[in-house]
Amino acid sequence: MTRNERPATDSPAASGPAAPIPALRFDGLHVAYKVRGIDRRVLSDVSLSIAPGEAYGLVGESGCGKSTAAFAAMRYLPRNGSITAGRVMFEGANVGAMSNAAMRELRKNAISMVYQNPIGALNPTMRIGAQVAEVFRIEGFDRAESLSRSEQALGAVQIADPGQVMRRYPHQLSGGMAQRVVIAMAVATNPRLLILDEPTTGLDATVEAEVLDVVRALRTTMGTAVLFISHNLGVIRSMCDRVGVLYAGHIVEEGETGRILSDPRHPYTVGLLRCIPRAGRGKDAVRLDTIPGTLPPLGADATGCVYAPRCGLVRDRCQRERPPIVESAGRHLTRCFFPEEAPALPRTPGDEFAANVSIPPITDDRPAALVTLVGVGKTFGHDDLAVRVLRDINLHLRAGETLGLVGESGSGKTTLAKLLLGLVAPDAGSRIALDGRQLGAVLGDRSAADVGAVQIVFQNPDSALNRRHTVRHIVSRAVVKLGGKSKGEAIVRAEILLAEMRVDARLHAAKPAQLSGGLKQRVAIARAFAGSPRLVVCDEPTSALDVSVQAAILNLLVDLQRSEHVSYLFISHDLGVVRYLSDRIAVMYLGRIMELGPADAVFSGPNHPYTEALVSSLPSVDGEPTRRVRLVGEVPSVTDPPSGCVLHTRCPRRAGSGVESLCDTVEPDLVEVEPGHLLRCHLSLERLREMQATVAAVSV
Amino acid sequence: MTDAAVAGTRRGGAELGVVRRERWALLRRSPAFLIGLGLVGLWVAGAVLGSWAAPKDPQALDPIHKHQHPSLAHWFGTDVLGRDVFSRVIVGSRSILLIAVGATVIGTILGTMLGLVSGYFKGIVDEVIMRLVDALLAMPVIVVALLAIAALDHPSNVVVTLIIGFVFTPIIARTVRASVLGEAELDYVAAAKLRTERAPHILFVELLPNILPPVIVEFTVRLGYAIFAVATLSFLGVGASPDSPDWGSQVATHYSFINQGIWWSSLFPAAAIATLAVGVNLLADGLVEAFER
Amino acid sequence: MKRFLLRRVLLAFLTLWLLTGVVFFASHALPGNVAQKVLGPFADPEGVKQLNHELGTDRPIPQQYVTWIAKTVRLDFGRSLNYDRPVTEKLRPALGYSARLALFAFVLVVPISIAGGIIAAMKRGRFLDRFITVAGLSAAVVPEFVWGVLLVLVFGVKLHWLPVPGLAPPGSSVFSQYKHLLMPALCLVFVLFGYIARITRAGVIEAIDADYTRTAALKGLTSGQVVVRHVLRNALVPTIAVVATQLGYLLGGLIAVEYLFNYPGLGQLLLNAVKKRDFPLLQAAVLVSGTVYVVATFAADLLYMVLNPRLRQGATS
Repeated sequence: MTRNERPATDSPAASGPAAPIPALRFDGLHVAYKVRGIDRRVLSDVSLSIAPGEAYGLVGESGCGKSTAAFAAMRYLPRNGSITAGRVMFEGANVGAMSNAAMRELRKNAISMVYQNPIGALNPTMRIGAQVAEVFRIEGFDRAESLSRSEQALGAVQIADPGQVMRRYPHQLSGGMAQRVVIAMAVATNPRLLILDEPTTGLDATVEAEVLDVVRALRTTMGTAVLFISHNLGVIRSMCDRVGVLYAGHIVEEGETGRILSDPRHPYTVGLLRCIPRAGRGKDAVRLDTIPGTLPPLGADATGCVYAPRCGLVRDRCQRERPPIVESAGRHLTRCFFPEEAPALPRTPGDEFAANVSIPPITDDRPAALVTLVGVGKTFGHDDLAVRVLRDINLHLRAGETLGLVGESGSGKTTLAKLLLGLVAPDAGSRIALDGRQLGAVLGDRSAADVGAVQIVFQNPDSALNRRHTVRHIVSRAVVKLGGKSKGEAIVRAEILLAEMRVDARLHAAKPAQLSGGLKQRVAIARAFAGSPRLVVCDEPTSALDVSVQAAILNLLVDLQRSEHVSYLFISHDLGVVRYLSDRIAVMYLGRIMELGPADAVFSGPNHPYTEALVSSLPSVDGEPTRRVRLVGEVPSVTDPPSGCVLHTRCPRRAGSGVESLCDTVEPDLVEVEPGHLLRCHLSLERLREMQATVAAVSV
Repeated sequence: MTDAAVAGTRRGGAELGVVRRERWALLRRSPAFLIGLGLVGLWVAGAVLGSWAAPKDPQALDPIHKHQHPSLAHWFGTDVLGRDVFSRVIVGSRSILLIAVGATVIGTILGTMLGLVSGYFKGIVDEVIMRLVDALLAMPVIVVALLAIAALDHPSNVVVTLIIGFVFTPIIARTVRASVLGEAELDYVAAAKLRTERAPHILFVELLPNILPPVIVEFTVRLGYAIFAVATLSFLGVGASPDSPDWGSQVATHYSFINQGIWWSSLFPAAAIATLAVGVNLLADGLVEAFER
Repeated sequence: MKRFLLRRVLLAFLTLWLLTGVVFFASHALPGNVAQKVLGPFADPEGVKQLNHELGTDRPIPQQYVTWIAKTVRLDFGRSLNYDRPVTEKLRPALGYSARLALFAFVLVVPISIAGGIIAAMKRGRFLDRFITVAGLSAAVVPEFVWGVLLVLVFGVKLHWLPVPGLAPPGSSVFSQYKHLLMPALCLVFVLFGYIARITRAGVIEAIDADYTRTAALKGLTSGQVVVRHVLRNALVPTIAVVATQLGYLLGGLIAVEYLFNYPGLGQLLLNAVKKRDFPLLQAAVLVSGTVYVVATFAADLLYMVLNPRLRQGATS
């Protein structure tokens, strides 16, 4: 086996005349997990080097070995994991050869780590203050000194009232706040290396932006080296100097971030970037590219290039030999025999179902609305415990149209979807109509035809498909119940549907556990289309999937919409996906619609200050400077919404608007400010246009 | 998901049959499971063959040869009435196994129904069922059984089976309900409602297959406790027909002779109870291990 | 929290009330004639009628229940048919004996089984873990009286280390009294050990695998500090609650143990009441054991609430 084709001195960060010792270095690292008695390799020959003060991004899809790399660096692999070859070096010292005491010293003050799920990372039975103070206590400070230092540490991550936060327990913090506490603990002792493993995954985009701001600020003040692990190329672009692309445990490409993301030289990176929906290129303008095939199973040792089975440029040589990592353009390393051809990677053929059916763009003279919501509200509980999670929602959806629904968690998006579906009854007086006919409040009041007309694709296909039933049964049963067909006819119809969803006939007798995430979601989509629906609610249908799979699912949804003329209510926290797919967009906050309008108008502005903040929190893969408008503070509780405009406690445009007192006391109405574009704001469209024209807006 | 977790599950993605086969391979390699299988198999064989397998007539009195030490003629010695202890131990396996298995089956079926209904409908149905369950669980199994036996006057084996089955019902109902509560939150249940399925279909076709693994595990665990309960009741002398070759009553009858050095007539039936209970427990443990991987 | 507490107290009372219903109807409403059951099938019909009148069992059932419950809440359980004494007079000393045995067993089993569970969790997957888990759970399914027979044979008859009767002769020293209690208590310990150890093990493993434990280790704490300050703190909260509910089980176990060792506790009393169809005594004994269980679970919930900040303080963010 050829290990160390690339001596560490080739590393860009170390190639200067007086190269500093790298903060972290992997030398031909191999890591394996023992599963059912067999070693399965997760990392293969990974070499990388991070200079002091440098931010290095490690990017890849789930299961590529990113987190394993992080835990290998901390010497904290899971019980069944072990380094089978190679070394991890921290500042020139072999981490694997250190004594436990030396390792503890490193963890105490030289290396820190932050990871996903911050609330779980905090001890539920200890107050925040005690947990942060522990970091200082083990450094040898006394109690009082530790507590006062903890307060400073929390202040440094921009927690407004550290004293108060210190008295709380983890379950009393929001995800964003908890992540700041974890970061405060990690950087409290001024570490020389900070490892961040998906630190913002699962957080709302606005909170993500705030957390990333904190990390960025800390980096400039402390000069810490960072290993930043993420599946999100946009986040990596905004945070890292250099990036390594990990595929099936191999680094396939590495180099300066901007260069890799704008001029990739490995077919995998090229494919990955083409999967991502980009600003200004909606579903009518461009079809997303996909990556065919699936990740090889863990531990499968290919003789040739690990990416060969999925590569559009594959040659005989790729199957026979494993490509070495080579320098292509400048300090840009690629594990490919033909890096100069990568940009010309052909687009995925096939998967073109119904792609050529063109439909006229949505215009205002189209027929009447398919679904209408008038004065829809939802209150949970009653009397003094009543919580109004939705309030006076007025909306319509036309046939064949996609309405995107965005907003932070807790804004009421999912509740709205459940009302539409009839899973939850709306408040009295709410009106939900299909083709002008009022729909029953709950499923029991709806005819089978009406139930079939409004269907859903759930977020998590593992939860949405009964794991004891076969794929064929899941779909055919829906055809029987919603299509009114006999069992025999239903099976025929189900097979046709599944074929349209590109689910291979071999898999029709399989149970969901035997399918990949993308295939499961295709089965779920087939089920939703079993009764010829008019409206399909898509509740985060791709957020559990990797980008390459997401692209294929989005393409499928677009194709189905064109052939079936179905409408979508598309809920997602991923604004990029919403922008790609939606004709119109509704922005929700605390159970209210804050803005509603054509996708372009909503995204490019002038838009509602809340929308503005959402859009500007979106990290872009293209690295264009985004306007830096931030929402301050935490989302208020729905149980006790602020008076006046519900956004006024966090609004980025309230200060200096001249109407502050109005904002604080009177709730604005949702008003049509230009044809088809509605805003719930006291500021006029003109005023917003003026304010938003200045790029350097209020930055908090 | 962590890479390690992915490493564990990903292969399942393509080859579920392999996992199932590995499960059985795991069971076959587990010494605890094999010992359990052996012990239970032995007693089941004893119960099926009954007096056919017994070397002597288990009821034949021979007062002249009472309290004989274990020997080649009487492997486990003779009891206070000169009956062959070995034969009585073999024959005694039938009633305890019949009652314990019957009671566990009844308790599992009723408990599963109750738990399904309670966990799926929630609200007032759930409140009422669960409060009753709480009240029943406030008394130890043995106490409830004694109470029922006192009320019913010399109950037959069938009645004892029913009593223990009813006593187990709330315990199993509670376990099943907990599984159903989690399961009913999953989206496939909402998906079933969204294709106009009715409650019985959702309960029995959608939910039941998914809660079956914990029900099977609960069944085996409960079976161990049923043996415990049946043996204890017959030891206390309130179970079925005191004169039958019951392990518990054999111990009760001969326990007082231990002081005189006559240990075999109570030790062997006691050991029979222990081996059967432990055997069932080892089987249950093996299944838990295999299913929870 | 006040709401939770109030709800919990109400539930405890509801459970007790339902329990009285179960107990009452088991002894009155089931087919058959109470006095007939007491006096046997060949009793004089006049005598049966007479006894039914004395017991009040010839009146309508709801009326009987009201009379009975009104007396019961005043702790008036009537007269024992078998001993012809007030039930409370028999109950009080028996309860004392049983409490002593149960608490002794508890004091023995709790530290041993929690330690066993922690050790098993720390050695997860190794031989010691499998041994503690499998042996513990196997011991738990063997009835108490079987353990009793084995213990008596080995330590009483063969080795003569321990006295066989559960109750020491009058005037014995405290040491001697507990020496007599040791074998009966051990029977209960064997049955309880596996269960408590398993719960402890599960709690400790969950805490070891939790992200916060990783945080603690990566702070640079020693493994000892991680275990004591982060793992056990979280693992033992549910364990303690579960342990408290096991008090209720003990009452069931006491019946066989007291019978075997001829120990004059509540269990023997209850068993005799069943055999002699002494319904007033039986009702009282069952109600008392049920009450102990309800109080124990209530205390467990309370303890759990005090130890768990999530319940102690609502989410206020």
